[in-house]
Amino acid sequence: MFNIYLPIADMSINFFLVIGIGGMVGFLSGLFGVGGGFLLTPLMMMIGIPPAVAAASDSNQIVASSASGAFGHYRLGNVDMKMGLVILAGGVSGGTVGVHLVHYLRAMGNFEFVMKMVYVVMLGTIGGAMFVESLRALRKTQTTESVEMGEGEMNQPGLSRIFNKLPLQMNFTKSHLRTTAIFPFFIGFAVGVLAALLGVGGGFIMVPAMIYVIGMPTITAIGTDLFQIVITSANVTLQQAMTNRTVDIGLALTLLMGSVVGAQFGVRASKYLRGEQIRILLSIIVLAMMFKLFLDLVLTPDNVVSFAAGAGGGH
Amino acid sequence: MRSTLPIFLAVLCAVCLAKPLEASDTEAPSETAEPSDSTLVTESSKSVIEVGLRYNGDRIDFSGTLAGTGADALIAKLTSPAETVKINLKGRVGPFWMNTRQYEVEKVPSMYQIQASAPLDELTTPELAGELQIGFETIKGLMKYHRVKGSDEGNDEETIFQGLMKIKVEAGLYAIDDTGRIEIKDGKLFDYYFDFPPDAKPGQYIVEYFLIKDKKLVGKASDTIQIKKVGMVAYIAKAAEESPVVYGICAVLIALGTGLLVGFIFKDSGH
Repeated sequence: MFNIYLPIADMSINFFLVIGIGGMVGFLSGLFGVGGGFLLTPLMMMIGIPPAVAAASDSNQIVASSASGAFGHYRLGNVDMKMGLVILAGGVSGGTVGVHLVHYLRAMGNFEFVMKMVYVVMLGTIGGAMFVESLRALRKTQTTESVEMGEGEMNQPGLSRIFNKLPLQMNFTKSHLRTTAIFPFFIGFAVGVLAALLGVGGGFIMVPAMIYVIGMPTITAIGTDLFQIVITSANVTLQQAMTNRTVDIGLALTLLMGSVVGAQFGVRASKYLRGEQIRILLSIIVLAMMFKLFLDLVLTPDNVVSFAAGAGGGH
Repeated sequence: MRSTLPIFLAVLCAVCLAKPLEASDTEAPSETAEPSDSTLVTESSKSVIEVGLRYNGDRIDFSGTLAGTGADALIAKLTSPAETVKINLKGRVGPFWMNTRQYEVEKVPSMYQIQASAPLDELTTPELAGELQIGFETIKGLMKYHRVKGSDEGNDEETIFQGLMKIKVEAGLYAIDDTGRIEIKDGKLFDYYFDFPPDAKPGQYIVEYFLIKDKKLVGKASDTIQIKKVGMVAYIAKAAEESPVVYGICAVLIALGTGLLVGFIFKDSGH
């Protein structure tokens, strides 16, 4: 046993377990091109990391894991700065509100409940949609490989007519768009709140929203999303450190070590594996995770007593 | 420009990490264990447990002699000063279990372990056990409960005590072992150990020795044990607690720097 003592979580944990989880999630994120925060936080909780520490440290880890991607896209000119800043205005305020919501819920004693509930809804929706979609793709015995993305950019999204009537119209030259700033602000805000509450980057909501609702080109959406993730997560990390003292840099860096290596294997593996089958696999993993969290909420707990946050004896 | 960015960040991190370091780690190690009663001679393998990055619980060995004390049995009690803890209690709300009540419980020792050279009921009378606070029943009697939120769903205090015991016993923080870990050789020499589980919190701990003869206390002594965070663990915990803004900024910068550095190392991949 090689244990490491986490200074903020205040617990000793098997180093290889944390590296392994980081590696596994990194592998999946490399394989699927997803951030993986929505898998990482629940897994952290399953190995006994206090939920608030898991979420906050995950935000810290996300800063690291998205930094180089964001920088790369920035250099390639895939970041719509103006759109990014509008989204960030929402993301930063949402993250700040979210962190205070975490603080309030912890004091009330129901942070863990609310967090798991939101996770169940979110993982259920994403996992379910992914499962149905990839099943349908499999049934079609795939005529072409890439049906999923890239097509949306040409569509004029139905919502755009409504957006055209809203105030605060802006030109987003990089995305070749003129649209209202209100929607990007609000989606940024919502993702910011989720980032604080769940320790996720929120790409799985942001990217589809950018492509299919706002109508941004796919590559600009991905670049801009990574850019906003780095700053939203950085803000959440800082706010969590200030308000809740739950950022465990030791945990974040250990996770990072695993996920960096895992992602390399994931990216390589993705070249050899078939799309739909892997997506079904991911959706099953997501649904299994959801099911586990759901059981936590409804099954009679092992012990109805627990230490409340912030007053000796535990978290 | 692109290759200097990570270096710049690394330097920035180093600078802001260096700042809170000055203030930390000046505490002198506590004095070695010394019995307060001169008739009991004891020795411990150490009196300070250091919680560093590799900490995963620890053990302290004790030994001594009863010679000249007139006692033929020994009870050793390891406790930490009783504290007030906040407790959440779950209840059913529709199909879900969530925290519905919150209590503050006074006089809960963070750790409570007993070692004895013979079964406790052979060594003490109930009165003596009460006086020396030996046994889980005696600490149960000391705890005081204040409801902070929610309404009592009946028998909450007993539920809390049982739940607390379960947490503490499972974590190895509460334990009573009177089945022979303390062995007394030749009627006078003894040795035993206390296990400090990974969950043992930093703080002052007291080991009390009760010398027993015919169910009577014939002498006592005590040692202090200190658990403290050291090195990186102490440093990070202190920074997070005392300068949360600096700590938060550092956490972000370290993550940014590491992330970019790693990105340069594995240049071919990325999102």
